[in-house]
Amino acid sequence: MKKKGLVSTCIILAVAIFMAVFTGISFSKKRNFVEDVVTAGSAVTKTVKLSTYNPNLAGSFGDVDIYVLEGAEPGGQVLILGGTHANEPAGHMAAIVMLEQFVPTKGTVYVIPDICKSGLSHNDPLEGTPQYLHFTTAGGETRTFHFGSRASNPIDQWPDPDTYLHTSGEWQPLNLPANAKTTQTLSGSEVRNQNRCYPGIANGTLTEKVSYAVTNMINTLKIDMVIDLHESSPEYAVNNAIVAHENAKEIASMAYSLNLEEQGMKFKIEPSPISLRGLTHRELGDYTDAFALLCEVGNPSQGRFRGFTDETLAITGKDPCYKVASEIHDGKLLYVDYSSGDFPISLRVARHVAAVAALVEEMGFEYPEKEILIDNIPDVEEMIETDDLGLWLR
Amino acid sequence: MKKLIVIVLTLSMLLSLAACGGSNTPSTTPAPATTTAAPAPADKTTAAAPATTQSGGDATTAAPAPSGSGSWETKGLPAIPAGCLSGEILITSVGQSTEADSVASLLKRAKIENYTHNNTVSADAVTSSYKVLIMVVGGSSKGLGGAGLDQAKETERVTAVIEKAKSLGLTIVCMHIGGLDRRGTMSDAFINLAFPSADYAIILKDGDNDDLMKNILAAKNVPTAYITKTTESRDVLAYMLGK
Repeated sequence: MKKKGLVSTCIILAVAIFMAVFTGISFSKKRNFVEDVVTAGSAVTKTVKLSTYNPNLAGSFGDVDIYVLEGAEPGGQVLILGGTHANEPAGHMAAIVMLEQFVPTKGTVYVIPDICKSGLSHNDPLEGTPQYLHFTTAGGETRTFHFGSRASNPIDQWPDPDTYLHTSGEWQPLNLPANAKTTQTLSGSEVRNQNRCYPGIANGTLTEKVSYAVTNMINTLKIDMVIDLHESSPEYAVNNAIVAHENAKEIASMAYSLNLEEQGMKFKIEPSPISLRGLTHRELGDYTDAFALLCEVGNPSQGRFRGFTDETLAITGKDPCYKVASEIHDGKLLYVDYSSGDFPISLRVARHVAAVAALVEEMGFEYPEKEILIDNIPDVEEMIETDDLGLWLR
Repeated sequence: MKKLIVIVLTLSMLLSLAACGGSNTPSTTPAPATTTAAPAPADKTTAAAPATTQSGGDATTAAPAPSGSGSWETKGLPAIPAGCLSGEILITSVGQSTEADSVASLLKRAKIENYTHNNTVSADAVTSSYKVLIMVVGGSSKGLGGAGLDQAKETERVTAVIEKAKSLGLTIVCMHIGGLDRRGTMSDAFINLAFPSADYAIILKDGDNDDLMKNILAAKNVPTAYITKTTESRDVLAYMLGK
């Protein structure tokens, strides 16, 4: 009996060790995988380390590159953030498409496609999501990108507190609405949520340090507009939307009415709630003078109704469970039109590109001194029609 | 038997922990052959790019002058007559969505300046200096929270504003331009609150597919314009103002 127990114990131990080594190698590879952002031939004039704006980040996993696209003529400045939530790949990929394709002729475009690099370096446990996405370029080359987690990697900051107390640290508000609170308690895991940690703390957690650097960058460079690119579950009410700080509501509503709607794109314009702290569209509007905006687009691969989850779902957005969800309860379960049965990443990225182009244009109209002119903006209609994001990567 | 069950459970636990395996298989999207007509973005997008490459004063962005013709769809309700509004206008939201901001911005772009915009105006601030009350209906939980309101407080505020406007003889224009996105339990409650008091109505057509608003307006035969784009709301208002 004792011998049999020893044997089964050894078997279990061996299997456990095998699984630990097998998954450990996989996790280690993902942690160290470097995406190949192509700047050759693009309009990127220089790259700057994010630690320029928070020296505490130097040498850390969050010390990412800021891609700078400078036009020949001075003008306004816009900062585009991708990868805030690394399980929302259209935000990450749209930022990469923009930095590889946009050619500013006036003003400056700053792009940080992997603002939460730590989140890109791992996956959410038990979600069964893919680790990578692959796209084939027009030249036939396969390019590989991360599909990550909503939150920073625990390897970078651990353990989570029971309760996360968000504060604005040393920052002094510039545009804080009357009666707005500057602190908030959230569930402990939100301490690793990049979009709950603004305006950031210079020597806080990695996530807070990154947020601090972004806020400091905007104030130091006097950036005029910041746009944070996201995706959301189709059953989430704020979907296919632009969330705008009070200072950017007119820009957002006019960008929609006079531009996006004319292109046949439906967007909801939502106000940034003053009671929900830590978010880009809230804090970067309150603690900087930039017009702060956030774009959302529906992503079936992160929703709760989804079925089998793999790379194909993340790219095609084709999910039979969401199709069913769109057909029952008079379609009221979802906040996106899922009648086509898919929501491909080409469409999701196209919506982000269209929104950024419209918002930048509208800012230039309302504030001519902040005008930014951009050439080579991917044709949104064509992006949707070709349904192949790889064609828009270098 | 027990040990077998323990082994199976242990294995399934281990496997579940490792459930985030990724596919290393490239996307099934076929690589376009270099000889095909696959678009080369850098070459062709400039010409097709949206108008951001234009200067800020292009026609689209600058909002063309209102071009109301009075021929908007009515779904069997009376058509809105030209020049039916005059005097100072008060614009407020019912539900704190951003559409009231859009209406105000569109009027500003059309150089219609005889309006005051206050999304949270109280009944006390509704005075006889105003001749028209425009209520732009659409519920937004974010907007309500941002304004320090909830649905009950907003209902109370709007009810008082409507009563005051009626007592002062203001003309009430109800607008719903958020489309289907501004339908649902909360928005419908605000529609039911505001639209029975309308003297005129402007509605984005796809938001009234179920005729909720039409049926409310039909009870009083309210002149109505169904529009297909939010920018047309500016045209209808300009038409109503005789501009």
